[in-house]
Amino acid sequence: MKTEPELLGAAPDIFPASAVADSDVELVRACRRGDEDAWARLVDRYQRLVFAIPRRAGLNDEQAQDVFQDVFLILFEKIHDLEQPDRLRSWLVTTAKFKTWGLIRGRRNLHSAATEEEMELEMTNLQDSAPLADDALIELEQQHLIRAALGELGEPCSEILTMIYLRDPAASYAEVAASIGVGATSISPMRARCLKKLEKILGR
Amino acid sequence: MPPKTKMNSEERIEKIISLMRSDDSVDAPQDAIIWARNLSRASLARQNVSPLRRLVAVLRADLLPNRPAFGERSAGSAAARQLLFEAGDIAIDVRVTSSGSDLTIRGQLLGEGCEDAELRLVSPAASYSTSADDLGEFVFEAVPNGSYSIEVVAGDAVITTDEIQF
Repeated sequence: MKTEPELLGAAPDIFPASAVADSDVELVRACRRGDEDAWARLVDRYQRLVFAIPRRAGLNDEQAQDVFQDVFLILFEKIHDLEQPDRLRSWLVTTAKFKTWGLIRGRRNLHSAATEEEMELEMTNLQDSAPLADDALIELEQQHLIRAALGELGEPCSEILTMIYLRDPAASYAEVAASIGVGATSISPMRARCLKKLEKILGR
Repeated sequence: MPPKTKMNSEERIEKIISLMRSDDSVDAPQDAIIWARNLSRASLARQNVSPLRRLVAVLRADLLPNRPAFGERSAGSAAARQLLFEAGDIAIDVRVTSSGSDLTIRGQLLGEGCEDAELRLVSPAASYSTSADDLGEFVFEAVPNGSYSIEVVAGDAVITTDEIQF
């Protein structure tokens, strides 16, 4: 079974993600106690990542939504059975990959294997899993962790980095400056400081 | 495989920037997110959660106001738009009346296990909740005009209709 650092691939030291994993454990425990707000937070935390996986594999939005609903329904049904709540993210990625593969193969009602290992074993028997290559999934996970970290940055860093790096087309320094109410010449050093803060959060 | 060398801070930041720039992900559709959040209405505290049946309700009839419905006699009810959805062995009978600025959406769930069901009226902007009584009857009051889907959690079934412009 792959360990977390191996799953993170080429740059495991960028995203140790231990803080995120700890937070996931608390969320899962709360869900098991019947906390509906915790479940809603869990859905909100992972909805974009789970939706991104079938889309990256080339499925259309309707098919991606089918995968999305399947994954959260399975999680809901198995929330008490997760053996490693700290690996929730990995479980969601594997399950989404498994369901996506099933859809691609035209086997929508493919029974979900009980464990990640069983799902991985079944998928390694595929002749062609290129649409869901590990590198692509690693990238999606890392992007998910970055978005989560941006949420912890606070303002104005979250706004600065979102406008410069996550908008298409990217905002100019003048637009960023106008948005946060500072002079345009301040943006470059602010950007650099915010990136350092982001790097630090991701390194926890 | 060559050993992975540890990145320095500058390299890590460049990697982070590259990942942000290539991030083309989008949020899942809002109704899907709301649907997923609503799964918790089936008790998470139970140790053994029975598998849910996920059903899509098909619109079988859509009668505009002032057209008689099946067996309908009441003039008041004839002013309501009447919709009938079916999902497996469950039907959702819906009557929509408008006061101009907002809507009243009444209805009845027909089928076993529908008493005390939970319902949500869902649009991209908002959602409204109610419960069915022991006859399966329900009402949403003072709902803004708009497009909504109806979600029902009844027994072991989660039923969703397509979005309808009310």
